[in-house]
Amino acid sequence: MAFEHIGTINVDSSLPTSLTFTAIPTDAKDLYLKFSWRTNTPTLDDSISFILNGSSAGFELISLWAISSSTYATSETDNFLNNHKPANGNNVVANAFSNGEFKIYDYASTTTRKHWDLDSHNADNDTGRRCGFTSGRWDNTAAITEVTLSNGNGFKEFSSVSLYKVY
Amino acid sequence: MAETPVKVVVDLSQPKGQREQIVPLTAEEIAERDLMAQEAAAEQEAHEAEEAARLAAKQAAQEKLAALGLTEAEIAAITGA
Repeated sequence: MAFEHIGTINVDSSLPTSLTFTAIPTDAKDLYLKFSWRTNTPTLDDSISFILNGSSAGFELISLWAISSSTYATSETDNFLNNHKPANGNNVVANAFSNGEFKIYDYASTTTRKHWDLDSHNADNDTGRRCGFTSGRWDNTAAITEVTLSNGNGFKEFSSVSLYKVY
Repeated sequence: MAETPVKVVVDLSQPKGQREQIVPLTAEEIAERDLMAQEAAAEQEAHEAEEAARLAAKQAAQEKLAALGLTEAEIAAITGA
């Protein structure tokens, strides 16, 4: 397995509400997207919308997440990640960012529905506060050439997302 | 936040150094964002209500077990609480 870095977004102070990689070359096996981010929402944890090829339709997912010693699970038919909440909100101590990664499998295929997963942990510079895992499917056989991460209140400065191809 | 929300788009077909654009959202995108925020808030509210009900049921069950004469350690042993 080999990783090839193909792009990074370093967020400035403009509070962008979405981060998109487009025209992704379809010459690898999987995609790996590493993030470190924090949103402008006045909460501890925040949801992110995971959008493929500009579409929010056809998503199914199962999320497992833990807050302190309590664990939860849910299944959903959307792309909100509104239970997993893989982002630090803006009520977390200053300069603390959540971290994690998306993996999108067999993304260049034009014959298979696309499976993806996400793991993340939201930290507050003291103890691990929230962690989660999501396994999802996008009910579409198109090759994935665009990935967007969206948050309505915007991503804070110094958030960063890097995209890699996996061979 | 800037007056008009923006998005970042990285076009990987462009040469390095010319890939990133910061683009103002269209009115349609702003409306979609607002709708998603409303839906997210509704989901959050539902989840919080569900969690509150679960905790209330757990507390009621523990109290009933205690009324039957179980100690705190015994209740914890069978409920994992």
